[in-house]
Formats: sequence, C-alpha cells, structure tokens
Amino acid sequence: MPFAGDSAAEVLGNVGTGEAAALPAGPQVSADLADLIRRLLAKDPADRPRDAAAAARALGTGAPPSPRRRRFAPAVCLGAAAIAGLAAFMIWQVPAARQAAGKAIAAASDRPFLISGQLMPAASLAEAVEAAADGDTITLPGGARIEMPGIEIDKRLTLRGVPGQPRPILVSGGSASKTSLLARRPLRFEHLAFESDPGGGVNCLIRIRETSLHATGCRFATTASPRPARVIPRVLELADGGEMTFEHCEFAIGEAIPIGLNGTRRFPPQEAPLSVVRLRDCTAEAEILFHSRDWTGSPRQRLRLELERFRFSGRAVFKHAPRSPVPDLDLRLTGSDVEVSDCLLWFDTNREDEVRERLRCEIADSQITEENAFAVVQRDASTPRAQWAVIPLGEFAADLEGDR
Amino acid sequence: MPFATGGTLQDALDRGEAPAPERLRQIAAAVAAALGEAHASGIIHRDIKPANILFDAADPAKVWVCDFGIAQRTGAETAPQTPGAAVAGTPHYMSPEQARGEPLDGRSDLFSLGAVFPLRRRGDAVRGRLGGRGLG
Repeated sequence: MPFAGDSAAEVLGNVGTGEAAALPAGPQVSADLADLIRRLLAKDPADRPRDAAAAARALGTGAPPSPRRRRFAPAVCLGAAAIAGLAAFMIWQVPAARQAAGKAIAAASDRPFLISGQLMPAASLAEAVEAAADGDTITLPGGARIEMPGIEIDKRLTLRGVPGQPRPILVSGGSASKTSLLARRPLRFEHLAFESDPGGGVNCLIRIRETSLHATGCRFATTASPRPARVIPRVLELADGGEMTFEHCEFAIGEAIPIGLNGTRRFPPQEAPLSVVRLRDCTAEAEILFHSRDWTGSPRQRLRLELERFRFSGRAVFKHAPRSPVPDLDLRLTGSDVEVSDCLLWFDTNREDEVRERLRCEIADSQITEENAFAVVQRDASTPRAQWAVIPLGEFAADLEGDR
Repeated sequence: MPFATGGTLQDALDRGEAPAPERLRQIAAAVAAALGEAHASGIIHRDIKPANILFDAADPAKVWVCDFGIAQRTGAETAPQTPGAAVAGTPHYMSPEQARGEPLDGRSDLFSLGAVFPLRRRGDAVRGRLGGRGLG
C-alpha cells in the first residue's frame, strides 16, 4: 500500500492534501519504472499518463513515457476504439439482488461499498458467452461489428451497448450455421443494432426457443442484398412458444421477415405453446411484421400480439402461413398508428369458419382506419385476390382478459 | 469463477510472495490494458487494488481485473454516490480526486494502479532510522 496510515480517514486526509511524495520502494526498481510509477501517482490527473492505453503501452514496453504535461478533456476514452489486438468484450456482472444488498450495507456504514463483479476480456462474443455466468451482462464496444457465428446461449444473459455511444452492430458470422444466435434462457438486449443479410445464407439471425427476449433501444435492419428465391429469412424467431418484448425499438426490414413465429417440436394437443409478442413505442417498416410458419406437425399454436403506441407501414401486420392450422390469435392494439397497404391480418386458408372461431381483437385508441382494419381470408391459395374474404376486425372484437 | 483460480495479487502479498518489480510491471500493464477496455466503454473501476487483480491458474501471463462493484460510468454523478458512503473505494489506493469526492475519469484508476506498487513516503526511511512509525 502506498501510504502508511491506521485509519481510512487519516489516509484519506493524507491523500487528499497530496502531501506525500511517494517513492517507489525497492532497489531493483529501474529508473524508468520509478518514473512511470511517480507519473501514475501524480496528484494532478493531467500529470498522469493520458489514458489507460498509454499507461499499458508504457508499462508493457518499457518505452519512455509520453511528455509530462498534456491536458486532455476530462472524460477520457469515451467512444475510443478498442486497443488493437486486445480484448474487445467485457462481462460485467452485477446481479441486481446483490446490488440491492450492497446498497443496504453501504447505507448502514461508512465502509466502502463493494459488490461482487468481474471484468474479463474476451476475443469474441462466443468466448464472452462461454465465460459468462448465469445472470451476467456482456458489454459490447460501441460501434463495433460483432459476428454471431451460430452462438447458442443456455444461461440468462444481457447483451448491451454503452448508452451515449454508437450501438454495437451484431451480424451473422462466417459459419455455415443457419441460425446465428439461439437462446434457450431469458435474454436481454440493450442499445444494440442487428443487421441481417437476406442473401447471406442464414435462415434466422436470432432464435428464441421456449424462453423470453427483452429488447430495449435496439434497431433491427437488413442489408439491401436480395434474398434467395425459395427462402425468406427471419431476423427474429420465436420457436415453440415464449415471449418477446420490444421497447423503443426500430425495425427497418427489406427482404426478410422481422418476427417469425415457428413451431419446431411436436406438442401434445392440450399443450400447444403460447407465443407472446409485445411492442411498445416501436416503429417498423417491413412487408409483413409477423409471419407464422411451419406449424406442420405441431398442434394449433396460441399467439398473443400486443401493440402499444406502435407505428407500422407495410402490407400486413400478421400473415398466417398456408397449409398450417389457423392459430388461436389474440390481437391487442393500443394507441397505434398503423398504415397497411393490404390488410391488418392475413390468413392463407380457405377455412373462414376457423378464422372466425380463432381470432379475437381488442382495439383501443387506435388510429387504424376503417379502410384497413380488416382481416383477409384467402379462400384458395391459387386464386386471385378477388377470391378473398374481407372481414372487418370489429366482427372479432372481444375482451381479451376473458378466457377462451 | 473459472478465471479466479490463480488467486489474487493480495493473496500473493499476504503469503510474502511479492512479485519482483518487473513482474509487477507486466501485471500492471495487463491491468492497464483491461482498464483501457473498461474506460472505452465508459466504465471507471474506482477500486483497483491487489485484492481485485486475479491470476489465471492456467496461464500465469493472464491477469483478470475483478470487482467492478463500485464501478461507474464516466460523466455520471459522483458525489455522494451512495447514501451514507460519500466516498466509495479502498482508501489506500484511492486517487486524491476520488478521496475528495470529485468527478472522476479513467485517470483515477491509473493512480490506484500506481499505488499497487510497493512505495514508501519521502522521509519514511529517515523516520524508520529514528525508530518512529512514520506519519502513522
């Protein structure tokens, strides 16, 4: 320890006045290192190395320290790029429960406020995910492009960018994996950007299986490249039920499905999985926002879509896939501004009776006009639009709090 | 914690196995590199000390910085940061500006890093010869 002192206050006093001129101890300390230590310990921050990177270089190479007196803006390093060749990711673990406990302790005493946490560097997102413990937060460097080469997550994690900095951009990795990121435990995204390349050979950028995703302040976009003829890639997919909540998010999607609802496992008929998607204060530009797909083999699915203060422009908000059972669909729209060129809901089936049985809507304060507030039932997939049944959504009005 | 198995620098000091200055220099360089990453993400550690510097059991060259418990973002309101604890941190390694409860930037952590090296106060050697216990 640098200064002698029995009590914290005494040492604080000593350090506070900067009275002590500390000298590196020990005969083996080289003149170069002694000078560097003295600079680190300079009373005035302006006399210290200008930032941690400069200190790392000086310590690591034994190179002569940079000029003594250089003034820099008080907030160092904000937005600075990662040091070349060094770690680019951090796991920052401050579990909320422990944080609260730590605060209680701090309030009860003058002792230093400590909570358990770790910082560790990692070379890739996969490595960071591998090293993270359940409940950890992984902070990604602002503005960086980060690859997701088929990462599978089996623990609760938060991936976040740093507020005030450009969002980190997450893209598919170079591997042949059809899914770039698969989560089986609750996942949170904060202040991130996702970029999906429809022609890149990845079927799904982010798949959430039987768990939840919560995204805040994120942007989901596609590159301009055209998709292959037979595949419509999904940016996000909810597989076998689960929940997705988006708050203050933005979707700018070209040739892809923003949110796919997929069934990949067989469930007993009584246990059809429930998929819930909530969008609050979000905006979306896409051809079709939700797309149910490949329910084949699984029983009828249950979907609940809640859109609150939501702005959308595109062809349809929801599209049901052909040749699959009509799902139980509850739609709630509150305070939204939705502009659709075709229809709000689009069922690709000739079973109008089934749609009437399965669909329930609750529309409050919505600016949806009478011209587009309808569901379309395609009577025969091979026939032109004239064969569609157009049903005003008012016919499906229901109180969604009630049981089915 | 798979990366804490090599023990902390404090453990080594407690065992009387203080690293040689040049080894300590390598450790400090690794810590500074980690701090560079933290600072670039807008996070100040604020409690750099030997107990928060961990060795990797598998790779002695690897060093972890742990306990970001009192870390905070640059530009965040500093003082008082927690009720009843106007100054957070470990006093012996705390920078003068942190001890005064002033707004901090990453250079505060650099002071603490410097304080990890064994030091003596100017005049301590003389007082030692006189049998005193320093400024105490």
